[in-house]
Amino acid sequence: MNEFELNEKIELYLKDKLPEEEKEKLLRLINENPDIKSDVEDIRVIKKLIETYKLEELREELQKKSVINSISYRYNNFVKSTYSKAAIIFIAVLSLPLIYLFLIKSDANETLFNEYFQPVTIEVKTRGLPPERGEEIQSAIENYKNNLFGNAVPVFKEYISEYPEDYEIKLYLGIALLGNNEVEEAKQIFTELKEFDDNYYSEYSEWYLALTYLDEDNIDKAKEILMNIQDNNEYFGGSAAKLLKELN
Amino acid sequence: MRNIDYHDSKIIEDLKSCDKSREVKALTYLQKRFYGIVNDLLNKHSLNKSYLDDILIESLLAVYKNIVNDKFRGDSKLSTYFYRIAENKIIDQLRKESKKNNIDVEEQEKNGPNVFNIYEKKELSKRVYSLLNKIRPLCKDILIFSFFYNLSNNEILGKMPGISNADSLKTQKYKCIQELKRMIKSNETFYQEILESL
Repeated sequence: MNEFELNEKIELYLKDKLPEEEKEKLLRLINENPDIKSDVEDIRVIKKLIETYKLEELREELQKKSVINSISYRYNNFVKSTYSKAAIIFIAVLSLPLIYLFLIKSDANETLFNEYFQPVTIEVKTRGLPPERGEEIQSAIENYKNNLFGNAVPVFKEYISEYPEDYEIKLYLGIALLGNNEVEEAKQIFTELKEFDDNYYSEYSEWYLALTYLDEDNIDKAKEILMNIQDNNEYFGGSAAKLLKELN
Repeated sequence: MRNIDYHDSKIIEDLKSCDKSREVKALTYLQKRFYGIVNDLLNKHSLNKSYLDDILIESLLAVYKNIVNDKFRGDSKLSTYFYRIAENKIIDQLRKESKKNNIDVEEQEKNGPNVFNIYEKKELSKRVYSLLNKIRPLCKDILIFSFFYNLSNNEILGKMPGISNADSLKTQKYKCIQELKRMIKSNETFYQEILESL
């Protein structure tokens, strides 16, 4: 057996893929020959090194997307504290003239928003609801699909007050609120849905949250979210990339 | 209706793809999706939020490793599997904290550095990473396909069109192993630290 073949056998042995008969032969060799025993140890170390390397490579990538250092996480923790709330009010009062200026929407951003804002439609199951409630929701969804958001919002709101964990309708409500220019309420819903663990609507919510910031002329925030969508969001990655190009 | 199970299976497919960009895409998606689980677990066990990133990342990497090694059989949802791993990591962390508080400082100084200390382990990982970045990219690829993804020689040939046949691969693999052995054995202390961490 040459050294290449021995190497292969040791590798298969360490991966537990060596046939029984071959394994016994190799174990005899290991017991009789200290050099071969040392070779086995060396390859065991190499296996460990490779595993450590690969995990470290991925760890470095994940550390770039630190949650605890993310602006949204730090922002959420910051505003919870009493002192920061007082500071926010003080700064807001001083900044009122500037806020007024920034609240004037630029024409370009409004055009972009109108181009990209499209109410998503997902099949909604109304089985299990009382018939009149099911019909109400279907009718509200028809209004929503026809961009009659003002008609859809009250029905969705009433429904959500009774069924707060119906995330599909909640998402529709968020979009309808945004379409109806009730931006703050829409933002709250998208922010909530985006942060839920195991909520697959988080990707939709993240997209609409970006559009909400675009609608508010908060371009920096919109871009930040869009860059995350571009990198991580399966459904809206392409749209986010397009919109970012137009914003830049 | 969008199917949650399909989503999990696409993620698993990406994690097993042996393609770093797909792995990173799937893991960062899960990082966003599962941070709430770790947040809730930290609250449940009254552990400081400063552990969130570390526990989240280490749990994700544990899930990833088990998926690559076929230890995750898919008989539960990924979120459930992640929850169990993350909770175990948090319980481990609680045990370490409690041990740290009970250890006599003088005894710690007498015993010297301990490779099972989290700080030392992280430092060792970084040194391994830095060392392996010095080997040829061809060797890194061959060794990762072979020893991390456990691919057979035929599977590796399929991913490395620059290598013409199985004999060339075996020869190249042997040379890469010898090259790496020389590098790590040139620093005896480092080599011993690795052996102890096995």
